[in-house]
Amino acid sequence: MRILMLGWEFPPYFAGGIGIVCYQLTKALAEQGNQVTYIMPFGPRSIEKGNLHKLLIAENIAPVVKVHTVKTTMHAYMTSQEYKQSYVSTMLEDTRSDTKKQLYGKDLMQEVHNFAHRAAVIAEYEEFDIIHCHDWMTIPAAVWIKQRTKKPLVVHVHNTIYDRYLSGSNRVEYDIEQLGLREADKVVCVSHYVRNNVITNYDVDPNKVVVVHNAMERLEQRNLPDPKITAQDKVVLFAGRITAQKGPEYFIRAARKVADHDPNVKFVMAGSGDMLHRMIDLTADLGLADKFLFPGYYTRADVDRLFGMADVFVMPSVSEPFGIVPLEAMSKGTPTIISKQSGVSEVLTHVLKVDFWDTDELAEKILAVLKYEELHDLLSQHGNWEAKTLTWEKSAQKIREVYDSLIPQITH
Amino acid sequence: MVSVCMYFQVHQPHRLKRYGMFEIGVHSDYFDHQLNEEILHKVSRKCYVPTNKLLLDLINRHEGDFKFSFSITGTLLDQLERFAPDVLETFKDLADTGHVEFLAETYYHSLSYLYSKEEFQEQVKRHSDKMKELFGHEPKVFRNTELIFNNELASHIEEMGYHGILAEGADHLLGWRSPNFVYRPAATSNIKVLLKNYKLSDDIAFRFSNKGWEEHPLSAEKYAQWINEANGNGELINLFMDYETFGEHQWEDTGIFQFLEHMPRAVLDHPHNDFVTVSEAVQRYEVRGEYDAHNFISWADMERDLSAWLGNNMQHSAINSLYKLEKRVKALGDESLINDWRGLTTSDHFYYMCTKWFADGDVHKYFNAYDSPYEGFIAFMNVIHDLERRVKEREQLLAVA
Repeated sequence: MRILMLGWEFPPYFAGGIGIVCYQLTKALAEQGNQVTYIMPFGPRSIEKGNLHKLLIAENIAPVVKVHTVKTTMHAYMTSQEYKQSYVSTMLEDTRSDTKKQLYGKDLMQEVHNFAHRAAVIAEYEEFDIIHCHDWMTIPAAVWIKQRTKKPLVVHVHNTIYDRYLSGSNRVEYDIEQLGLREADKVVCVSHYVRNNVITNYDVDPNKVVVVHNAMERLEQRNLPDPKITAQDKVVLFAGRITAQKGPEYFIRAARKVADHDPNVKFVMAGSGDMLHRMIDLTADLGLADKFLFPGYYTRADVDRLFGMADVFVMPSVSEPFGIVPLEAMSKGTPTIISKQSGVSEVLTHVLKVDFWDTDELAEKILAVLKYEELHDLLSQHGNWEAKTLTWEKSAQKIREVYDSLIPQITH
Repeated sequence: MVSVCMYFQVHQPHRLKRYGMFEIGVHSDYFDHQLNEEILHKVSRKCYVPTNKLLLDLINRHEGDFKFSFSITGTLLDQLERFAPDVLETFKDLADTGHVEFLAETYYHSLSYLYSKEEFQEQVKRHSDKMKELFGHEPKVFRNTELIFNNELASHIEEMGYHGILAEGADHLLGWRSPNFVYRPAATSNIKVLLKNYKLSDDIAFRFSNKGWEEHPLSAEKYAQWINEANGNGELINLFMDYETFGEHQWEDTGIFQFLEHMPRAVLDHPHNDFVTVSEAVQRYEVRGEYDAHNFISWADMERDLSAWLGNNMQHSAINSLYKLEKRVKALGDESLINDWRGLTTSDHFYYMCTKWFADGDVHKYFNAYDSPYEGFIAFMNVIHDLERRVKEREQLLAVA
């Protein structure tokens, strides 16, 4: 099967979740004998193209994966405000701004359409059986290519506008999402959580919406010594964007209750985001300043150390279409507590689950994991095993079944 | 001659609340009476009431040719007395026919034999007293929780004066031999062991409603034919199962009640068949071989071992913390402490902490009172900590006095 994939930048050059998913899926599809032509938005701060090719060679998929890059300053889940900042700073970086003005759109919508146009031109020269795109920014490109080539379209939904903006909405983004869902021959959602959202809010025929859960990348086991903050303190970890969707405030309110019960606990809130400063203020207001560490933005290399030092990892997301971080925590053997309002909770049993708003219950469960060694150890062992059973090979096979349902005559 | 010996296990645990760490020292109401009452009413409506009625009718209809045995736990009887005395009366009505025998077991459906012989004997005694009080019947045959059994237990039970004991007819112990005879447990001299015919028992208890089973739907006549086939190569067919099979595990719409209604007639139609209670089976049939269970066996799962209750470290840790408190709790002589402690000995609490099902994702989840085994463990351990706190407080008071 030949796939035209409209995806996002590969890690480690872009650390966002969707880039990892696109990369893992492409890799698994390639390993299963599919050919992938990958169109990738490529920013001014991206890596050298030569390094990208080295990555494909290192993964042994260079012969079947062909990457085309499209210059753009947009990246996944940017808001139009963030795009504006990125555009301005890109312009300021270089005095030869005339060429850049032609290259990049003045606002995000224009950039999305620029990308669509450039991707469509690339597609003209490529041979493929199916089009597969990921989330709203790539939808105009995918729909355009579908209209020109009449090839079937798979729209992969990682999140929708209802997840990105907890309050308020963006009409244009909604319209683009709806266009993509209407034009799609099959819609793939990363969880039932997302699928329900798609069916309820976008008036899509439920029969064409399927769920393929994300999976866990194969990680090299690195046995680093577990760094500890202090010898006697236990560590509770939050790691992710510090923004309303991820529920950092609930984490802090639960932390207050944990600290009342057990003074020898430290809390680490790793990551950055629009609510970081408010969260620092909140810990001070609640008298938790000496209990909290805010190490800020972390790289993927830091992740090992964060999970290594943590006795329990918490993902208290208010809304989480999937949520891959718990799988990373589990694959490092860190006991994990997740909110029931997450897609990943559909596939996990060896974790503790809470409603994000129930800070009493969250505190209870944090304390239980810290206090009961057998609970900590079993969650660690079984969680580690469970994360390893969720493989991209299985998810890629399900994606291939989706392709096959659209073009049954192709058997290779 | 083939005798059919049916025994039904009737049990409900005192389920715990989701007792939180923040509740320790605040209150000590560990048991979820509301949930227990709800479940009792549900199971009564679906199983106990209609099945008791049907069995009473069958005993009357067959004028004593149909008989069977019950093992009813103390924890269920507590709940029937408290929440459903009218349902308890229907059990007494069955006892009054004289065609229903009651088995001995631990009052709390506990694993006490494995952890404290003293507690085990006390619970068996208490259960026996309850049988006399409610049903006017002194048990002569013993069955241990979940048919947990080994040679040493059989010998212990023999010393306690019982003339029969029940066990699983485990393939790995029987080898080529049939479960359809009476055996003598190794290292005993008089007691006899009745072995569950798990194939014929599970045909009713587990496979009855399974549409993928080649024998589905199972008619009373077909089943009686399988019983008849034992004539000439067996003497006694022991059908042991949970009473909740009727109406609760196998719902009414599967036809389970019609099956039960017609099965006795179909079996008795063959002139060489009859029904016996457990004591009659022990008295009537000679020992035909030795049953040597050096290691513990049970009637659970494919493994037939203890791993459902004692398979992971949470379970070991929880049960060890419980029995560590036994002497201190008893030394205080406070009934409410002892009753709370004993309520925790019920095997179900440890079963809820089992993690081995997750791999096969089978029926057991249905019986779990918690969202996950981890939550079962958390609630149990929090309760243990509160209980220990109460014990410590009382000890300090006594020390001061």
